[in-house]
Amino acid sequence: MRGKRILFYDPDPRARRVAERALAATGSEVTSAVDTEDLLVKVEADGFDLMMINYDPPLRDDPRWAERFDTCEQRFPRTKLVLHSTAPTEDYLPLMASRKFLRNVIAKNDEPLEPDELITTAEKLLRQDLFGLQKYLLWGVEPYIVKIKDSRLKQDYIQEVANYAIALGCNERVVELIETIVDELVTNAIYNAPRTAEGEPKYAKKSRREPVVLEDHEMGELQFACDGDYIAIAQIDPFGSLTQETVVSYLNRCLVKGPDQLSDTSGGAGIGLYRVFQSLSKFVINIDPGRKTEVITLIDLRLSMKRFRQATKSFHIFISDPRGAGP
Amino acid sequence: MSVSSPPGRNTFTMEISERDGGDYVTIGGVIDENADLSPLAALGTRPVTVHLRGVRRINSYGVRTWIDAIRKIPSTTRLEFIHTPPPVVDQCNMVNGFTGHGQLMSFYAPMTCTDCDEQVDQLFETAACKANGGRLPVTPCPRCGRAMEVDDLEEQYLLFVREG
Repeated sequence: MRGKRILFYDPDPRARRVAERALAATGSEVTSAVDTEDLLVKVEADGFDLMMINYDPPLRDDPRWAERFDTCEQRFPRTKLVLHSTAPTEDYLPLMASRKFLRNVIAKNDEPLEPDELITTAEKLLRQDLFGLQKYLLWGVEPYIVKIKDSRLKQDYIQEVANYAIALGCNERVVELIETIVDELVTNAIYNAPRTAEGEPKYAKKSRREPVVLEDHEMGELQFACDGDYIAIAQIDPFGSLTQETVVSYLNRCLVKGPDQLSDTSGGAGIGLYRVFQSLSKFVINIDPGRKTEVITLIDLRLSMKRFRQATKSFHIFISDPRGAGP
Repeated sequence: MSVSSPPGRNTFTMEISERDGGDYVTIGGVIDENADLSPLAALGTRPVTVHLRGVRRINSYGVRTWIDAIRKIPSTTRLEFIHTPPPVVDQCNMVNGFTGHGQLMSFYAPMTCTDCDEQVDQLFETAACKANGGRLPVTPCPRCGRAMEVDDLEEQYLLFVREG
């Protein structure tokens, strides 16, 4: 976005070159930091609208940087922070519970960085234009849309997306990943998202065996599309009740195999979100608190299952800034 | 859309028959909130063999009801799982207590040939993997004869072998 300033840091010069090119293409002014000392000087100088910073060690293991990032929001209120990492999910998810600044983590796999994801992430934050599945797909792709209304129709919703995946030529295991995602997202839209007028969960305590038919104003939406590289599936609800804390705590509880994995307190099992996370390459949650939530999942169709399991996952929670995009 | 998967593959099915003096349970389809696993939970002390080849998927609610049902089978009952497909193997590796006190005797692994791109789900005995140092035995490609690889992280996929 023109008139905006971005600070980018990665110790790898190739990553810096890719990022400088990609981010400059948005019209923003891009400044790079070459090492952590350089980064420290530039961070403290302020003046950036967005900082995109490599969060691998030594930065990740240095408590001084954790504190710096933690206080960033107060010290530099207009500056957004995005981190990128080569670390596997199991490494950074537990950190998210205590480090609230870990909201946007871009996966850095074999290639330096995906320019598309850098640009999309930067533009979403700078423009405060958060919602929309199409932002993650090639231009021109139109999503299919299915309204989510009745829990008894869940299998039909799943089948519709599965048929789409089969028509694309996805193999059995990818179709199973897609069905898992849709199953859990639809359940979330019907049982977990709806709120009463007082803001209390409306159906969350109900057993998932108890049918629920959503009222018109409660209806969610399922969107799905593919651009050849990624298949994207999104669930949208008109409540905006999901929080960063909920997402992180549900994911973390399931990370370690143990007796606390399954929940007895809710009507579900409490592992739906984790199962979704295990089935995707990129996870994007857009929240306009009290108004709208959009959960976007992307599966990289270019990868074998082996590569898919090895690959680091991107994780984004975008929360609408009431101040908007700023000047 | 012209291509579709047969809806019948998703329908949960469970059949229990008597075989060799024990109960032989065949399960298929999707294990979710519509799956009635109560007959499994009601099994007594005779040896139980659960054939899982037909299971396509288990959702989060299905995981909970599955564990509840398995826990109700008396701990003195010999309980064995056979022909376990990849979606169930994933659950065994991911969820604590998924097989209860039972043993996973045989399982399918998604094998792929890096030379000719042939892909097959190959049946393996857990005991054979244990005897092979916790790794899959060499599997020749049915098309070109070269050794196939598992299309997954082998160490992660065979976690249950080491834990069992």
